[in-house]
Amino acid sequence: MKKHAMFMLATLVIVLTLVMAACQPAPAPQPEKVVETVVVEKQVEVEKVVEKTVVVEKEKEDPMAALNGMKMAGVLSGPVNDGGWNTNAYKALVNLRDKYGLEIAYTEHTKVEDAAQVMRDYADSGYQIIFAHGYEYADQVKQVAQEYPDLKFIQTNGSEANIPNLYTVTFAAGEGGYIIGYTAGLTTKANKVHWVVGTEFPLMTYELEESARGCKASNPSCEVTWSFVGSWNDPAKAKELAKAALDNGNDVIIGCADAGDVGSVEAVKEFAQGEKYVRFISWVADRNYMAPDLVLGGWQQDVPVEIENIVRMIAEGKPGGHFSLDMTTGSHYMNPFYGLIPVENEQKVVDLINKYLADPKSVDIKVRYDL
Amino acid sequence: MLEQIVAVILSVELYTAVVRMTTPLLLAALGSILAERSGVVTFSMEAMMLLGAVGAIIGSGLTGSAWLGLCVAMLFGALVGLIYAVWAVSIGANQIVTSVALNLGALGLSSILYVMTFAPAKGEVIEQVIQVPSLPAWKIPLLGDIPVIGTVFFNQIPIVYFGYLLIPIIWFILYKTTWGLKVRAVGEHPHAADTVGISVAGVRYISVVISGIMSGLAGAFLSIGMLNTFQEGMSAGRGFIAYTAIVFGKWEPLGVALGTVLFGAADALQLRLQAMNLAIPYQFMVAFPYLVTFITLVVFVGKAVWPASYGMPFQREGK
Repeated sequence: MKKHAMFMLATLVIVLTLVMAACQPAPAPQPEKVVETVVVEKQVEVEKVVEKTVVVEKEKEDPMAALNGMKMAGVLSGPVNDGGWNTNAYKALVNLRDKYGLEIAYTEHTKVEDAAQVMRDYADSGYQIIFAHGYEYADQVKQVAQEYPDLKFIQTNGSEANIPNLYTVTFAAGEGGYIIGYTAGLTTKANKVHWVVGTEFPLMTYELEESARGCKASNPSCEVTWSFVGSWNDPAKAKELAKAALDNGNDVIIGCADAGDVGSVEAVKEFAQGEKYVRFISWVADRNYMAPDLVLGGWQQDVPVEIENIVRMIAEGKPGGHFSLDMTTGSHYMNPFYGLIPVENEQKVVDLINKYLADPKSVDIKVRYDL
Repeated sequence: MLEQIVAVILSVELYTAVVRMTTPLLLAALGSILAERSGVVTFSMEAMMLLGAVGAIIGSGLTGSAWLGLCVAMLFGALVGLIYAVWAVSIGANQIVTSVALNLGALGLSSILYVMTFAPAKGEVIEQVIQVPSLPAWKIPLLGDIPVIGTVFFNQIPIVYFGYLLIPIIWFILYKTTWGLKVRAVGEHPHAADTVGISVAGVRYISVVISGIMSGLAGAFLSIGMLNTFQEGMSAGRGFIAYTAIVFGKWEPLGVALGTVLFGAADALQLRLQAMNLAIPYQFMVAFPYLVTFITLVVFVGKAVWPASYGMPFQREGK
């Protein structure tokens, strides 16, 4: 009898654990970006200029020169080869190493409950900049930053903590959502657009709502809907959601499910085999290589640029705080369209972006810096 | 809202989705019944599935043949089964603890194998999703042409058909063969089985390896069946759901199959309903299949009656 009860109990525990896991907020949110070819060219120019400045300023003691030989560590929620969120963090670290000679290290699969100890270990081993990648580490990074006031801490997707040595950084919300929605409105032929998202969190919700507004701006009869996989690593479920959306009459899928995106792209590829019009728009990183004839570059969230912006502040001796980076920082932008929508529509998006960058108030994009 | 829900329930696409969501659970759960009936807890299906998923990608990626990928998946699954059997059967370690260790270890091991195989150079990071040849759908002649039923059941990839066949096969092995009788004897009364000359360890070893092979196949269904790539942790708890299905079905092949279908159907339904953009919080939708399983388990299924020697290592007396 005892054994019976034990096993019934064990089974219940498993089911409950799964229910709880399903309800839990998922790991890190995803970055985003979009850019137009024209803007990309601009980006390149900007980068060149920066490099030149570095060379010139080296003679005048560029603050970034002080970074040479400094030690910086990353605390990551998943593997650096996920092709999304954590790959971006890895690229950010490598970028700083290659450009400014920082010595880098990182820990993958850091559970929230272990994060504080991982950060302390880095602090005690002489790392001067510690970078926690994801909103889930907020409490831990605050705690450790206060324990080590002489070291600098960076947290992506964090919020204002009022700790002088903690720099929390996000991409300003609204720009990407609106512009991608605007693009989607010009891409859809069925006037139905669907997002397949990992999990919900406030910044994401705002981007989704803005995308619906942006879509209406370019195509008043277009409808934007969204669904959630419930995790960031289940491509099989993401594929089912995308299939359901396509069967339901949508012809544009926007993917923000990190590792799940590969499933959404698969669904789009299968749907396209029936000679039907369909497009996938990337979010966070360009997924075009997965299906060059179907996937628009979409919105790019450039974590290396984002983190470099913050490290520059540290090098210049600026105090910590919350930094919400908008498009003018070059940290997020539109990727190429790959000729997958008509040139005149592409031009409309480019015009919108240029108009916005020239005068943000001239366009109905509501940017939020507080999310 | 009701109209939309009815429209989803009446759509053919829902049922093809049910088949896809059920297959990996069905393969793992049915494949593990023999091991379970022989008295070994197969809580390690998650590990076997994950290694199967990565094995399929490695095989398919290196050889360019999805079929060879399938073979590698089964081999990897079998190896995990073998390792588990050494601990659970020969050493007599606690089976739940060993399974948990295997499941956690598999998460890291699958990732290492994936990176070792596909990283552009040693020590480099895979920045783009690797895509390999996947299994094509096989439409079964005649049966595949039947309206609705043909589309739902007979226009799938071959592993799915194998899943259908597995229900009678496992039933037949379990109840109509000497080997099945041995399995049941070992699970119910290992000492009695031992006295009549049945090798308890041998039966358990083979059963656990079969569980590994079938769970590996389930993993391959995820990576090269539904998709053409591997993602870390892509089994996403399906091994645990399969385990629940075994308890749900009270270790009977048909019951276990029903359990997997119930869960697969609930999952497919919530995914389809989400795409309709109904005013239901998505957290409820995501939890829906688990709630259905939980409630059915408690309300309708009642007390589980497991094999008498379940989870207990066998040691000969008097030696």
